[in-house]
Amino acid sequence: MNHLFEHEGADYQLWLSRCQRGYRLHLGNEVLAVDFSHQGDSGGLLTITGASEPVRFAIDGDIIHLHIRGRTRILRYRDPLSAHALVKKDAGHLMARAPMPGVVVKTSVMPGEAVTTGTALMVIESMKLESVIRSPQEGVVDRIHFNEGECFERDAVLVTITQEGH
Amino acid sequence: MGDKIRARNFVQRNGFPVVPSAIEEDDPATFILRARSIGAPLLVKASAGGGGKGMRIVRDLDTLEQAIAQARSEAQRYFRDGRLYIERYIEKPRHIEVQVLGDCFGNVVHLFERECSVQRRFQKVIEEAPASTLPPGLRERICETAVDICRAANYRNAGTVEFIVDGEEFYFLEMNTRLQVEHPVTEMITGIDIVAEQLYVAAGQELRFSQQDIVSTGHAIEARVYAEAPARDFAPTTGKILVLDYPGGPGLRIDIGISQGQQITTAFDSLLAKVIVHSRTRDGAALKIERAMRGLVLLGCETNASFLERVLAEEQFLSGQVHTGYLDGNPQLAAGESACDLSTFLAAAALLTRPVREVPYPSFTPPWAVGETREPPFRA
Repeated sequence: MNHLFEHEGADYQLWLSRCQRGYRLHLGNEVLAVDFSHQGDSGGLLTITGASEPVRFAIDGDIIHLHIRGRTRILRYRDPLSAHALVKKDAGHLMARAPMPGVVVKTSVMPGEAVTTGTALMVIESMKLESVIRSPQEGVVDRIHFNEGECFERDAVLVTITQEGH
Repeated sequence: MGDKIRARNFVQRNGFPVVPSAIEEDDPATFILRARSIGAPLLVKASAGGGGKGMRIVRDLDTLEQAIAQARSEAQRYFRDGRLYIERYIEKPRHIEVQVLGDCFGNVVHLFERECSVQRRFQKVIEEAPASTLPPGLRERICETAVDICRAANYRNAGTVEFIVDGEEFYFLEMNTRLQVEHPVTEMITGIDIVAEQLYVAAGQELRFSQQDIVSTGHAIEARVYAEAPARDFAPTTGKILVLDYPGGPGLRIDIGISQGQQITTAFDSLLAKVIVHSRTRDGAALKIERAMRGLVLLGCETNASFLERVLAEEQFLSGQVHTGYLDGNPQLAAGESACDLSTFLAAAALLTRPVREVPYPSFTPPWAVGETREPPFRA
């Protein structure tokens, strides 16, 4: 079966098929014999081309946190269909997204206001650090999604900009 | 001594070296003019500040007024005190600080120095003791200067005198009139419990040891585990601690402020844990702490742990040639992992998805084929 994972902004597609003992993982041009046996709630042994690696993991919705060989990586399971829908919905709108979770300190623009690339839209605060959210492109402020004092998560859409003439 | 401007004036008046600066409240009308006359690059600081809040570097004097406005706004918000000062920004400084203890009988001792040059956004990331690449003469002069400053101030408490070291020159930076995050490295090399001694002198007791009794043994390194994403400019991260496991052993100390199941939010500082090691040599300590970091399993909230491991194994760090611009000068350390072992992680992730785990082959249902109510692909 087909799997799509996102890691640090890049998508990785892979195919997993059952074989006599364990699974075959198709990743790019590579084909690896793999298997996983669980040990407890948050651990297990990954066998990859005959070699075994202890794995610690935690699963939170679509997010999987993995600790292997002393390294921690966070991967996001991507449903190929919903990923596609999201791209279509975004077309024609530009969004200023939150680079980190935080709280809105001040909004500097009003809906309907024309902005250019770099116009300050909002001042946000996260862990005592203030940063300015700027317009990614020229356009008109369509919607401000959070009021002053409201909290948001990383990647939340803070301000939507529409492009004039669209 | 806790007020940056007053401490600086005091130190300067007593003949100790300070960095060239302009203090706003000396004469507010000429503040900007006096700052300009120091020349770029400049560092704008909040006089009541700490932890890098309200600090701005100005490389182009045309942006000075804007930086002043931003720094003042931050200073006002965090410290309810908008007073500022501006000083010459030294490009490749080392941050060396001296741990001191003073009692109410006029006794002051130092517990040697700490090197805290590995910083991001003016906040310390890795600290160590001793500062092994400082020439011995310079190191003695710095420690003695710290004691002399405290003696002049009649200081009684545990405290830290911070210096900027520029080659063979050193300047008083500020004094922290409190216990600091990095105090364990000093405890490791001296065997002195600084918190106990702090309480002891606060209770009006005389210090239990003199300078000659304090001996520095081996080398200690501390790494701070923060909830942050180094690859995204060290932006804070949030999440719930789902798995927490860490190693133990001789010469290894882990100070941890979180527990499994705890939610990490933006309401608090992003420091989660401190990993501290002690070894006979600096190389031994670096190896030991890198190993300890690899044994720390903290899942559920993105941290800087892998970034710390990369720093602790990096050549320039291992040679001891670090200054406060070291991380900015080595952006590859923050940029992220090489993707070389990613296939191992992808294999584990694929094998842990819900369809693989729960539906026997070949009659599995893809997770996107269950209609509108999409279930998480992983076991909840």
